[in-house]
Amino acid sequence: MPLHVSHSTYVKKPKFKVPTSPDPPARDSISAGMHALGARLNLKFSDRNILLQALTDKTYANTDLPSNEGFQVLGNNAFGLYVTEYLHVKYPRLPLPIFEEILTMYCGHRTLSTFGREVGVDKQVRWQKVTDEALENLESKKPRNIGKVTADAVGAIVGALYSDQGPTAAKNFIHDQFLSRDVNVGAIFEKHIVNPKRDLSYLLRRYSQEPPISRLMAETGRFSKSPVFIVGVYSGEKKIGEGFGSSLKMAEFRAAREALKTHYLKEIKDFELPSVVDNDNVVYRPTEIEDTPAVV
Amino acid sequence: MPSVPLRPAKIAVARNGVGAYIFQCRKMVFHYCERSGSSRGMIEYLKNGLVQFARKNPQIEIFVKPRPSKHPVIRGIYLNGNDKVICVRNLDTTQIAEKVRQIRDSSGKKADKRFKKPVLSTTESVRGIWSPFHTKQHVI
Repeated sequence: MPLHVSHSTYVKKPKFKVPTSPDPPARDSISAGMHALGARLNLKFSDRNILLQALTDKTYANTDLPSNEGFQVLGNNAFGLYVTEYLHVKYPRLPLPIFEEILTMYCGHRTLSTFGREVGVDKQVRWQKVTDEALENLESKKPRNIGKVTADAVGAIVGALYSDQGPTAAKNFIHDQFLSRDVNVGAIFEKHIVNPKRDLSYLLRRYSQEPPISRLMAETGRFSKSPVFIVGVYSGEKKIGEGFGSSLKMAEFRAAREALKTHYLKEIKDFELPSVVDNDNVVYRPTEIEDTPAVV
Repeated sequence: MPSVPLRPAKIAVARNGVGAYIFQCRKMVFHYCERSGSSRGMIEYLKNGLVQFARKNPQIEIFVKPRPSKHPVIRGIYLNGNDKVICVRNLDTTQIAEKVRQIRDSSGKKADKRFKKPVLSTTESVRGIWSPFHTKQHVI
């Protein structure tokens, strides 16, 4: 009985035929591709079967090994810990909704599945679209899709590292593969700003600074089709932000937004992470804990 | 003045090499013919050079399959889905080793795009784009 599945749940067909071994692999044996994957990611486990277990989805029936669910839970929590502490220390003034969004960008579902696809995890993970039980009972359950399977497998690999090699190994893996990725923090922040002039006003009030005043600094083509205005926003004598725009309002908006960005996206360059105490004989020197965002 | 992208990316974008380096060649397939003369060098390489190469490069899956009555071929398969096929007919062992090294070191990207866009960067220019409002006023 054919089950209705959408295209996106299938594994993408390669552009050419990839030759594979004609003999079926032995039950619970680590294939050449899996071994290569382990070497590519520099994974060193004490036992070969650990990687195999991490790549075994809960839907896969033809195995004696447990599924990767246990590792996955551990791995997801390891992600939560190490990515959160890194962002918390690096951007101490970040408001919470933006912090959460950036956290999701670094270790959310989509990123894990993209990473899995980039390194070849999606080709090695052992899974089934529909479990054998569901097929036998003719249940019309939603079939599992490769994106979620890959993301779970990547979480499981981190969990397996944590469990088998220790927290430091998992932390180094996360730092090398995920925290080295690029996120445009400024763009995410801008997405969340609705009323920068009001937010800036409240922010300066919180710090008992002079209220913001916008001043036109330069302009060209005021009555033409393409005017450019440059507005600076001042707190007393100090210029705290500058913005350009094709109208005065637009330039003022951007100036206020730049001022907010300069404050909230303060980046600490030289820091130690709290998890450094996992290693012996290390004294942890905490960075300064910053103020909360101004409440509007 | 920073330029604002229209739509920010939804995930963190990979920067291979910034943290760990992921080797881009994931599989190499070796085809040869038992009887043909053009495969002599290839058979020699498979006997003597391949195992050492495979040991030095555990991140590449090596696959050897005879392909009767065809010229010997090496196919490299990359993580971005592309492949590179090199026919090694009538080459000797050292020349084949060179081709193998060439496939291993490639990224799988097609060559012609590299010349159309020589500089790829996630950040805009380092010193900023020129603006008439931030220069000294021109005095005649």
